[in-house]
Amino acid sequence: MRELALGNEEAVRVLYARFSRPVYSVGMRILGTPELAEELTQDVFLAAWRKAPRFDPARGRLSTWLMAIAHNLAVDRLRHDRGAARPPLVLVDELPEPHDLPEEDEAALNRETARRAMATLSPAERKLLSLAYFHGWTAREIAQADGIPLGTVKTRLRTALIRLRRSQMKEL
Amino acid sequence: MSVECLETRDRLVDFVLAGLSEEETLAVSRHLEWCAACRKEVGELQDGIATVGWALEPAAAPPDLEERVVEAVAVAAGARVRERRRFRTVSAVAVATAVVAVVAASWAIALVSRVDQLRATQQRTEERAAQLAELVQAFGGQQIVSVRLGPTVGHAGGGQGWVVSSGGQASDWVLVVAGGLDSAAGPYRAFVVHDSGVELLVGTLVASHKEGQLSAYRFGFRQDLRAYHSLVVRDASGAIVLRGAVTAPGSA
Repeated sequence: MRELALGNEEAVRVLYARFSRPVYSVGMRILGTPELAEELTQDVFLAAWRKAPRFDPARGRLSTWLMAIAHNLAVDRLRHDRGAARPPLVLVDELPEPHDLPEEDEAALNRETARRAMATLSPAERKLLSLAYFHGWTAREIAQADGIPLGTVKTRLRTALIRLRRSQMKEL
Repeated sequence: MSVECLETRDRLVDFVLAGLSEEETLAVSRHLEWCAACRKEVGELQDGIATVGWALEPAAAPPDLEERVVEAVAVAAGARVRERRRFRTVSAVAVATAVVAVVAASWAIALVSRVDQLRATQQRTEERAAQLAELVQAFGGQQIVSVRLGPTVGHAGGGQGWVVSSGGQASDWVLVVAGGLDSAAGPYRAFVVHDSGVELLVGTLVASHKEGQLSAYRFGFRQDLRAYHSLVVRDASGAIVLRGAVTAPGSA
């Protein structure tokens, strides 16, 4: 990370090799076009360079940190493009179908572990998380749309995220 | 647990899902600087967020994206001067390089000029752009639209843009050069705008080899850009800071 902060090209390439595919995939899923996904990927690695001096491995994993940056930037862009309009209501199962794209062993392992973790969520939790993660809905927007108390939405989202984490930790 | 911790904990789910306002995000971030317990909670929630991203169907990024990312970081870090990209056609290379050089020289002067000198510089830039337009048209009848960018109310800076369209015979492309922008309000993004108001992303403005100057370009638009006659530049908050409409359309 020290080398990344200095803009060292090799450090950028190492980070890119490990994380470009999931970052680009987040961009494609949330923003919907290759152009915007490319733009997001570039912005994520630029943000990683800017924030590298503040990254503390004692506070969390690099993969978590980077994917959080990717999601934040993607949702920011989604909301900017959407403007002030209320987000459209969508009711789709966002869990992806298996894909034959060749992957590095580490990435494949991460994806399988993550998919098994996602399978532990209830349908209600998956729906809430889908609205928040993929469509950028806030807890308040979800509560208003579904007629669920705001506190209940927040509790369910928290429970879902903690369950995902615990499921992943068991596999490590 | 303190009252502040309770208030922060109530916001943490929205915080990790990017659902807070800028002000609320800042307040939570400040709290996390000193509260280890809330930081631990955020870390656990973010591990969950990361899991969703890892579970996604993998999408293949274009092979040249790595070089663009490496270059962008290296240029931003001052480790490398932006190099010329590999373009698809020789004509695009010649025009883009020449246009950037012309505008770079013009804007380097304009940024330190008085208003009357700025007008003279603009006129010289437009004359050169017209000459370049003739050059571009000699390579295949592409339409080139020159757009002068001026600041919107409350903002400073300026720029120039070119929208090159071929009517489907070759890839359309856009080049934007700007200067005098407040770096604290960036990153800035340039968009080409259809006559109906629909915006297409050109790219994030990044530092060029001229101090104080930013540029963005994009080749290979799938859309036909003949009906796109204006450009806007937006800051990080989404506000339009520069805007311009066609000043010198040329036709095949």
